[in-house]
Amino acid sequence: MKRIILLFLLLAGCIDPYFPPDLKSSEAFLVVDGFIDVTDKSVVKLTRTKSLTTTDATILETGASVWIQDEAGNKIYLSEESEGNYVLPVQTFNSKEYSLNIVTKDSKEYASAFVPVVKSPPIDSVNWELVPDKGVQIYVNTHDTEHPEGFYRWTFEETWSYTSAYQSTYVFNPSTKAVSVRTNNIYNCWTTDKSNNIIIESTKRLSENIISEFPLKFIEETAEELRYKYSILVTQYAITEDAFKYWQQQKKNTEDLGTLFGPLPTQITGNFKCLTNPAEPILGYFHVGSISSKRIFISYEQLPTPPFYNTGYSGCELGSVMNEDLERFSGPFTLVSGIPSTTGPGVIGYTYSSQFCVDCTLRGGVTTKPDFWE
Amino acid sequence: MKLSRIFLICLSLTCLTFTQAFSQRDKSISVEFPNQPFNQLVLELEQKTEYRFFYNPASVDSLVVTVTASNKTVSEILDEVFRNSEYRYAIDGNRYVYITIQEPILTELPSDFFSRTGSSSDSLRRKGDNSRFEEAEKVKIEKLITIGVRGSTNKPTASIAGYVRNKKSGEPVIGASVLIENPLIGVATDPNGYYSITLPRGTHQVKIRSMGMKNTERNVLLHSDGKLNIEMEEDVLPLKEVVIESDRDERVLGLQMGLERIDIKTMKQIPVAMGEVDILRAVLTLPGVQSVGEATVGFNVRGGATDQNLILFNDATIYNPSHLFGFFSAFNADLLKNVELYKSGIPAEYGGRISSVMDVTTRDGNKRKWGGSGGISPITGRFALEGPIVKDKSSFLIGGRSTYSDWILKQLSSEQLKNSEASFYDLNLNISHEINTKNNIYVSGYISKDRFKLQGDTSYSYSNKVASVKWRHIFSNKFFGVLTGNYSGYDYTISSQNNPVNAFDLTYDIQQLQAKADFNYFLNSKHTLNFGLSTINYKLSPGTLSPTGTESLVIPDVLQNEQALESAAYIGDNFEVNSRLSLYGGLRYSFFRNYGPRDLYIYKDGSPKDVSTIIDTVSYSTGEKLSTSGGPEVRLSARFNLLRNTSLKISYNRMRQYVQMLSNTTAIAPTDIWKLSDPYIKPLIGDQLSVGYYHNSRTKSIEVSIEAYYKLMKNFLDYKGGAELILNHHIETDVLNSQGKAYGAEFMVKKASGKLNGWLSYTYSRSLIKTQGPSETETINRGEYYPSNYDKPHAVNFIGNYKFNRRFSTSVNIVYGTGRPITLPLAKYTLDGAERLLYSDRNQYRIPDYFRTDISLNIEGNHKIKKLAHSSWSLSVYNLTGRRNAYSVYFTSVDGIVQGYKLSIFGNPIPTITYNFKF
Repeated sequence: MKRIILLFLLLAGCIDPYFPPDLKSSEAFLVVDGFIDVTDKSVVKLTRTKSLTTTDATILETGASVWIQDEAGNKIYLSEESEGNYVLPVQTFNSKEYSLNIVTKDSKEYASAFVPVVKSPPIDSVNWELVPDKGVQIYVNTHDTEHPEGFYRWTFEETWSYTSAYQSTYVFNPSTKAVSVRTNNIYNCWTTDKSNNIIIESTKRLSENIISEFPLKFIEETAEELRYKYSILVTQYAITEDAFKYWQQQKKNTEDLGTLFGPLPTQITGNFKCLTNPAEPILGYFHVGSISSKRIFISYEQLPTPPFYNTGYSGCELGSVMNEDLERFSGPFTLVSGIPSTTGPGVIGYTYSSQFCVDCTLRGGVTTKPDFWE
Repeated sequence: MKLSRIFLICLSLTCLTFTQAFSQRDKSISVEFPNQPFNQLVLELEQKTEYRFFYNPASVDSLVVTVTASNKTVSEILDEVFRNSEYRYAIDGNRYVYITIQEPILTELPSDFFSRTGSSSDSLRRKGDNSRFEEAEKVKIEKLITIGVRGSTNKPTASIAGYVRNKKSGEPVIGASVLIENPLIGVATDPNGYYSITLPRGTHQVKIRSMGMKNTERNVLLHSDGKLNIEMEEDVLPLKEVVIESDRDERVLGLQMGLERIDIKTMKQIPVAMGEVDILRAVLTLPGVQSVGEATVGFNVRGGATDQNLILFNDATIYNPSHLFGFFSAFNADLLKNVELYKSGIPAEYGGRISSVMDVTTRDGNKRKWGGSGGISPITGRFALEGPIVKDKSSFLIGGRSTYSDWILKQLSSEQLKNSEASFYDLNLNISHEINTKNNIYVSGYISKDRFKLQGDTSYSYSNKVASVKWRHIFSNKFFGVLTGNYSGYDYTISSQNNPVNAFDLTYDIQQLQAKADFNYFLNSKHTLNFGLSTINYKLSPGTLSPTGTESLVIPDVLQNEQALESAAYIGDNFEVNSRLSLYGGLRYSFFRNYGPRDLYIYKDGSPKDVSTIIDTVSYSTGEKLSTSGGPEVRLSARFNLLRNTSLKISYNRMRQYVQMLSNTTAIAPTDIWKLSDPYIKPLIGDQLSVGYYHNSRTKSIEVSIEAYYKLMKNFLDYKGGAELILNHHIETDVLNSQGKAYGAEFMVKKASGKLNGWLSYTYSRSLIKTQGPSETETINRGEYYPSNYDKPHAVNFIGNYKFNRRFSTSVNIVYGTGRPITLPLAKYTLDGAERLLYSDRNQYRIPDYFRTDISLNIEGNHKIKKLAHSSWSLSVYNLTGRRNAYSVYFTSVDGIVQGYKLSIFGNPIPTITYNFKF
């Protein structure tokens, strides 16, 4: 039996957006987002779950009574500084374990399990490596000689400077039709983004509690982030093994699903319980400890120049308007620069572009240089 | 070859001259033939001389000759061979030898024999010399074969036994029906082509029917027990009718229910996706068989899990039946003979899995001539070689497959795919040897290996290794036994090398050695007994993590090995009570024993098993018993013929399973772990009761069947949320003991023959699980029944074939199924700046329904019997409508926003053109 397949089209797996059918409406459950930092002021945020399809703002849980409690039963209350945000000022923590307790305004009682205070070792370094023709890989390194095994979670905050497509040197006043020299900066901006994914790692399978070159973030070489200067602030939490499992499960539930051999999602609730109604889920995980953080900068001078940058301004174009036409100049445009006269001093007209292409703040950045900026 | 000779006989009728004297001038030859089939002698003579023999193969297939001659002419040899026999020969001027039979024996028959069987009286008619060749022309076998010695017994019945073989290749024909119609008595040949049938003494027309073979008959005069070997001719045309015809008798008349048999010809008609004939895809077209999605090789039979199917490849267990993420099955279809799937009424000789038995057998190599075959496609290439080692005695068949998908992936522009790797190969070797007419030996080996790397730096590889040796001995006409020894091994390795500090290898390995003896005893025309013993020794290395390279800080971690012995003894009896009622009763007793060395954690009584409740560790020395389990497994079936074409069947079976797969995914994944029962993981017990109604319409071209079943599964494993299955030293803390139940009904209407044929089936089935543990963490969905991952209530399958003429035919395959259950997110919430999901109770929602249409057009080459190669073209389109069937639905957080996605494997119609040829 001989068989020759002459034509064969490669299959391609495909992923389409999916909108689930109407789900049974469930009540809004309490969500506790809180970390008690033993070295700093801490904020515990109480919110409610919301339906998948809604775009409404998060419902904040106000008017609750929130306290932490040590094994001896000593309570320290948190105060509601703003809606849903319960604050604990800096203070000394003498006990080894604490629990978080909540009584909501509808008199439901919730409590977390007692969790130990886990202090994070310092971050040894945050370093980066150039992957030729691809981009920049950022790593974190840490170690802890006091504990044989470590469980870590990281978050980071990236800040980078960028510029709008065109630097505007003139301002047009639509009511007076007058042109004046621009004095404010709308060309240089700084923007900040926070990590969304769960980044965790344990050294349980290693003989020493060392995290070496753990990849935190990869940036494409053509990303706008690397055009001028980029900075990343890495925050490290040391967590308990139970907390590690919780975050690992969260990660599996929301980030690792859908691959061919992906695990099945499961209902997970964290370390809180509703004391009034044990069947009612309450979400979130209570941690107590300290954090350590480190910031690094990467400047374009340290990198080879890529063929182009994805600036987000790729559609921008310049137009020109002659002096005599300025009277009719209107709409959402901003003047960029003057067109010099070829015969004498002065300008015969101006170039212009859309506000979006000229004003960098329209893309969410701020024009004031952050304090930490070098 | 011989077929053509029969035609030649007819052509040369007019120029026949009977000249024996002619041969005297020929050279002399020497032959030595102790107790050999006549065919063998003919081959020898044809090789050594210019003589060519013409005869009706059916008339000599039981003829065994003994001749020793030195320096004799052909006619002298033939004189000696046929001395005192009923055979006569004639030689014409072209040195063609014609062998015929003399009739006088007929006159000795008692006259009452003629009146008993109307059909055979025709053939017993005395004929003149000229009419002999007219008989041959009809191809029908009209010779009367005398079996046994007249007057040697007074018993009313006698038995005939022998092999049914493929005339061309000498391979056994499996599952061929050997039957007489009045009274209706029939048996089927076993996997070695062996049959034994007990009939009233006297004349009978024995009919032999098999898929893909030409129907044939033998007229026998049965005096006492004797042998009758039968050769069947292959049907050159792959006629669908033939396939279904043999099935149709079996479905109504056979005692076995819930048995599906697919031969390679049926498989080849089903439209394919990747140009490779795939047995698992063919099995999935059967009612009651489902899969969780495309590109999964695991299949679910009647609401059972994927690990509950015993997949046997030449008697040895296959643990992972897939290649390349399940796009291909592990079996090279070119080498297969047939596949049998038992869904219910499982006979006592099978045990060890609770849902089904899939018995895959490969062909024997051609015992008469050498043959080669091969194939090439954009994804795979394969080659097979077969031929005699000793002509008509032993043969070999060797085959291999491999991919060059690695090379294809490298050519793709996608950056992600470029960094991926995927490859596999498999190798088969079969040797069969006939020591003598009573002893046969079969050796078979199989090895497969898969390797893949998806985008990341982690590479996976897995391998199946299987070997078996089988010795078959015939004690007497009514009694034979098979002694089998086999080895099955499955292992996988996951390795990561990118970061030298974390570089590791993770390996898993399971091996089993089995010895078994099976016996068949045809007690009398009413009882057929089978009984046997089996023992399996398991050895598992459930996980070994080791650092690779000098910089790696990975601590080696080795899970303890597991050892166990699974033994069983069984006996079964097929009892033909009368022509309307037949019964099968079987009892299997299985026994399982874990033994050391092993350290076992002891958990606090009454608390959930958790690392925190470990109170002690007990060490067991080598060979020391940890725990035992076992028990009887009852197998019962009954068939009652309501009318001639209608029957009712009922069966009950209990099965025990001592090795289970731990899997957190819905399909079989390469990282799934097989785990032996131990003091904490109890063996699975499955009970199934099924009833069936079968009807053939009067013309026998429409067949209707309804089967309903109810199944209970005890000690089913489910997992705690977020269970960690890999490298878990205390897996018992992460698994939950559940109960399963499944029920359903399968309706099938089949049009067996005609230009338009095919089948339509509808299956309603449910598969539910209940997990009620002693504590909250050991309970799922509050202890209520919830749908299993593969609960698909409605399934419709349609296969239609339409034949325009002998050369053009078309097939359509339509599949519909309810979407499988999933756990959906109910609500979202924000935690640490990102959106997270709250999931529903387990498996409360379903993915969209599945629907697919495939179509194929087959074009056969011309139908000359003799030509270099038989060729055919097959054009097929898989997923004609291009429907993007969901493989899974999932929700993921992208940049902190939760979005739902649907993953489909085949998003477009997949056209394939295949060119086949056979020589």
